[in-house]
Amino acid sequence: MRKCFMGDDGLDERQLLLRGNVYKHSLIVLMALLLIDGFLREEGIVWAQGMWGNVLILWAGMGLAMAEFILRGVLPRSPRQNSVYILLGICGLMLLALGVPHIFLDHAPLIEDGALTTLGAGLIQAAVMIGLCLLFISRWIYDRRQGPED
Amino acid sequence: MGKNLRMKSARAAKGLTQQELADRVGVTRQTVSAIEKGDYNPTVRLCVDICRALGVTLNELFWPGEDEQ
Repeated sequence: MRKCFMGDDGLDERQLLLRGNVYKHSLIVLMALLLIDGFLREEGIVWAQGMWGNVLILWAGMGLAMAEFILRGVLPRSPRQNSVYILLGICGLMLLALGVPHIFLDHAPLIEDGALTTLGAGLIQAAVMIGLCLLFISRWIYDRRQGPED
Repeated sequence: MGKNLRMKSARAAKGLTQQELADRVGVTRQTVSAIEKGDYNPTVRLCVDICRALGVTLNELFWPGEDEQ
């Protein structure tokens, strides 16, 4: 039988519908966070050094979308296409391994003058990446345990 | 939308699991489960493919009975 419901991205029609909703949620979160960030800047409050404020806002929007994808089962069926979550976890672990020694050896601060330092922001980014990877693995185990029938 | 028990029984009569039916029509198992639970309203294209896979007509599976209307 022809399999016409999977797009190039390996999602079926229900998943494509859900994906659209997830993107909408992500866009709303991004807009709200950018608005709050703009307001804080206007008030002279800098909560992260350099470009890290914007990078973390992007991660927040993207991380929420990816978490929703995983929780709502918007995942392609082929393991190769899902490897991005495992890669994220590996990158997160590498970031963590690069950052943690600075805390203990150089006593580098995570927060300086009320703003997140590069190290602090990097560690938050690593935590998001590892969290998404763990969420994906949990979902994968849950799906495997559920078997071929509800 | 109510549960699609007719689809569930047609699948069971054919001896297929949700996963096997999903593989035949090219969707995920969760989508088949959502259709059976009445949580998702499939497109006509998918309905036709499900009917073909189960060897039944569209009316038999998806046309609402008098008590469902």
